[in-house]
Amino acid sequence: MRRLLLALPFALLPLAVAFAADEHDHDHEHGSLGAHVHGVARLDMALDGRTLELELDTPAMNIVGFEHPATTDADKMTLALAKETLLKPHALFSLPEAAGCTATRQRVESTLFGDKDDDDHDHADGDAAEHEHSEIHGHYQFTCSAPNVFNKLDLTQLFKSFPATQTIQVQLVTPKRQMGAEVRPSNPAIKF
Amino acid sequence: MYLLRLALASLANRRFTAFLTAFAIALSVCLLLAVERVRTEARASFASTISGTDLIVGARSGSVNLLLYSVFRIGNATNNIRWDSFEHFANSKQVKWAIPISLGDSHRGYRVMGTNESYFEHYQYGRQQHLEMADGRPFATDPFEVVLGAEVADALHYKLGDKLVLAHGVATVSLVKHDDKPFTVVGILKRTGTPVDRTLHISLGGMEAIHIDWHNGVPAQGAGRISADQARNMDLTPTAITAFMLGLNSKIATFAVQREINEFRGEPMLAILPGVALQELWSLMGTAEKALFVISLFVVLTGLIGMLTAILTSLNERRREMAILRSVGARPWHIASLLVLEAFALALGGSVCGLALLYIGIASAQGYVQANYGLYLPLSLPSTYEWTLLTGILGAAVLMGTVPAWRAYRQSLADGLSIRL
Repeated sequence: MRRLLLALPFALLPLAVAFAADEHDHDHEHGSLGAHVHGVARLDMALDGRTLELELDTPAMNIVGFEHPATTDADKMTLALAKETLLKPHALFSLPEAAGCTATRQRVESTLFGDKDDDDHDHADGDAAEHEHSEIHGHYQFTCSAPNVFNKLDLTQLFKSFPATQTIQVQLVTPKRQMGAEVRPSNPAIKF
Repeated sequence: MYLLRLALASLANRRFTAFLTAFAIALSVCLLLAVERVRTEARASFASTISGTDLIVGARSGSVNLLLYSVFRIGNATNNIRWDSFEHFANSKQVKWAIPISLGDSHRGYRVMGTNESYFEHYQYGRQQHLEMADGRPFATDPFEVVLGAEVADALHYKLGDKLVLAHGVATVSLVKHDDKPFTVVGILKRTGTPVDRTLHISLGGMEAIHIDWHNGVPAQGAGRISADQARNMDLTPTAITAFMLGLNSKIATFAVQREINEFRGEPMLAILPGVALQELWSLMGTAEKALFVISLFVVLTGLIGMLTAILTSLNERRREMAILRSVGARPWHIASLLVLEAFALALGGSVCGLALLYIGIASAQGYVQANYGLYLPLSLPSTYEWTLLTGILGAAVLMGTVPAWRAYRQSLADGLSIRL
């Protein structure tokens, strides 16, 4: 078993190389940046007691189709619509009515919305315009009256609203277990 | 019923070929089931190795790599992390407990792990079970105390009070030994069925002490040497460790802390959720598992084709048998079902023998596999999935039996009683 496991990385090396080539992780002089892959979003969900927290990280490309600051009216319109959709988490994450979740905090941030980029404190002002990539972060917190009812995360709506999103890397933490999954439109739900 | 009796009697008449055919099927069935067994048990044993730990933190590398070296003692770390960084996060408000891990030395092929008392208090495996002492106590303030995993104590016949010398590095045959600073066995852990059983646990101070007079990767010579007693009086706070595990006050904080660690500016670190990394490992393993499964399926297919060949070749020499059967009133479909039954009987016999072989194999290899690979293979009844596989094999055998059956059906019509001798 152990030997087999040891040999695995070699067997999978071609895969890893191919995969790594897809990720264009830009080297900056300071700190480190997360991966930014168009089509791939990250969603973290934590459920403990009655608190439910969801955190969505996605390249702006997946949401609005561009990553430059909005200058035209059409771009501004797209941005406003996207923000509106992102601020309706009940629909976006198909939270079941029966769980009785009320949002206690929700926040959608992006340099495109004119928010400060909190990832890179060292950036000089006005640097945002030179940014090659923009991300959109969504942070949602709920208090649920019946968290036990909530046992499935269905991302169908998210894929429907933002069709440029092809994969969502989900990390789940519940009182019982931790789970990870790559969710695709063809199989958009995870049971936990 | 009489048809089955006839089929069996006919097989008994050709018992040597029949036995060989059934044996080939038995071997292939045994292989298929063994692959399936090892696969499910490996998963179960991996999944039960760690529980209750919210985050594992190490130098930045891959999440699977970090999980493998920190929890399963497979492979090695790419880098160490600073003790300051560990303290920074261990004292964070959201952190309930933190277990530092320092790896890199070994004793006769078993890995040595430096840690502190919180390991015995907070490390959990299986269904949130804590580690328990079978004998003795956890290591205390003296740096030269060691707590053995159950398997280490068993295999190397150590008992409390024994002295042992650790070797530098993790090679089975090590040239450099820490023989100036022997360790005393103060405790032996209960068996857990996890890599903990194959580990020697020492304090971080002990780990530091055995390397204290080392320079550039070799021990100091002559006057530069520091004896065990001198080392006891020195400050043995480590400067670096390999990884650490965190338990948090609230599961909700998991991602916030993970982010904080991943974006920590002090040094590049990686925090992973063990459950998520384990799933990532499965998806990697999945490919190899599938390959093994497909190979064993083909072996079963080969066994069945062997059976088909054996039956088909026997058809010619059994023309006479068929003719006699026809003469005493057997209809063509009787002959056909006779052959299908024969195939079924062979496959059934093969499957039963295969199962028997599997259980004999498990019973005799259980101890060895557990000791060498840390994999516990239980002697449990076949699972539903295994029953499905067996039924599938029988179905395939019957399907294959229709080929000679059809031929015999046609021949028995054509030949009738006018057999040409």
